[in-house]
Amino acid sequence: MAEIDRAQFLRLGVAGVVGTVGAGLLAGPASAALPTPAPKGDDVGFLSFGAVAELTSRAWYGRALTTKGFSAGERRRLQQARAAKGDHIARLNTALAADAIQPGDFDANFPKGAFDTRARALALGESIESLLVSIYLNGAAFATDSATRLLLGRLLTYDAQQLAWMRVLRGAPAASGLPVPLSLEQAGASLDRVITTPNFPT
Amino acid sequence: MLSRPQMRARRMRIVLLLATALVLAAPAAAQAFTVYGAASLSSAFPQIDGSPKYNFAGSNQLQLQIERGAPADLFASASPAEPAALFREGKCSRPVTFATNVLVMVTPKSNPAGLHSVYGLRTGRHRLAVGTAGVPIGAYTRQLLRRMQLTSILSTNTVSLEPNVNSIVAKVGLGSADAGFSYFTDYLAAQNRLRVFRLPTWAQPPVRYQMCVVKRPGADTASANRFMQRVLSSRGRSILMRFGFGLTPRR
Repeated sequence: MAEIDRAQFLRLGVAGVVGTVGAGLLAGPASAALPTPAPKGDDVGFLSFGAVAELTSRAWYGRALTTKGFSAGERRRLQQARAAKGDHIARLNTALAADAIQPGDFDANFPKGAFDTRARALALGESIESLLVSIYLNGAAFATDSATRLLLGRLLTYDAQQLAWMRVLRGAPAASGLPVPLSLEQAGASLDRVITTPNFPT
Repeated sequence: MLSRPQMRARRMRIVLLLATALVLAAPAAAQAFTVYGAASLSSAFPQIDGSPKYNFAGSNQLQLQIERGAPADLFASASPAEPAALFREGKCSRPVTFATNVLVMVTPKSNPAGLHSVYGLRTGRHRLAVGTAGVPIGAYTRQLLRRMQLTSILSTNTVSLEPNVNSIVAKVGLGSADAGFSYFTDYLAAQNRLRVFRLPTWAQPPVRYQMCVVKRPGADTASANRFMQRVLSSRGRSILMRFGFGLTPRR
């Protein structure tokens, strides 16, 4: 077996480190690349409802940031969540393609006084996040396309955490039993109470 | 120098020439310019301006006619897709949004099928009047049904495909269909014969009306621009609102 000197040994060591780091860098994005949703049949319903409800939720986070009573830490989380909602909308709209929901398609129309106090704001925010969790749960179970199910499952995970955080903020247990999947008919009736069609007499 | 009778004769000839010129010119000046409008605008537009010659039909049909050189001066569509296509082809000015609408479900006033909501159509075996996929009302209806996970109602019910919203409303109003999907404004225009069922706000597609001035040889661009200004004026907007249309913010 040929002997190697100290310089060769060091060169091999450097090559090994570079190779390991490089392979890691290349493998990272590959393992993070998730399948692109290609909604089929009724899948569009879950995604469309999600996009409209996420737009409404983002509007809620925006209003909550102007509500008194939230600590600095809570405000930071509200801001992070608002940004995350923007990302959710973009992901849902990418999946919806031609059926994408635009911000101008709906107006959030929250009840009068809903942001007068922290408690009221949280109650409203919790109801919107609950709707999202219930529909994502339904979609994660029953969407036809597996990549769409995966996207809905990921969104469900995030919104369930937000829902738990809001419950804790108002002094309730993080979870009150298992969430129940809702049909679009049921969830839609609730969502319609806080949105309107822009520029159209109601 | 001319004598008095000669002068009189000359004056007469001038008067006759002028009169002939006026008579010949009159038909050209009085010839109305032509507005091609979506069927759902057939009640409101004549109230805004009674002078143009109107041709109301499905927006997709009108687009096709304009592409083939039909003598339209202004095109008003129930969806941005058709004017956008004409604009891309250089056959129309940049489209302007002037009104909005929402979709509703309509049944005959007596509601013989006993429907309580759109979800009642899931049971099947009803007669439905729906726009063809190419006409805006048909495209909007399909978009709404996809969002509501109700596309199956188009196969479990007996569906008659209509070329425009006026045919849908007529069919339902006459009782030839148990239900149909139309714009809110078309329900208002025929509310003595129809019952309305609101459809969920969250599932509504954005219904936007756009108009543009048609570009073709011999087009009456000046009249078309004047018509456009009339529609966008305060009076035009208040008439559109009276007929149930939504309005976009003033530019």
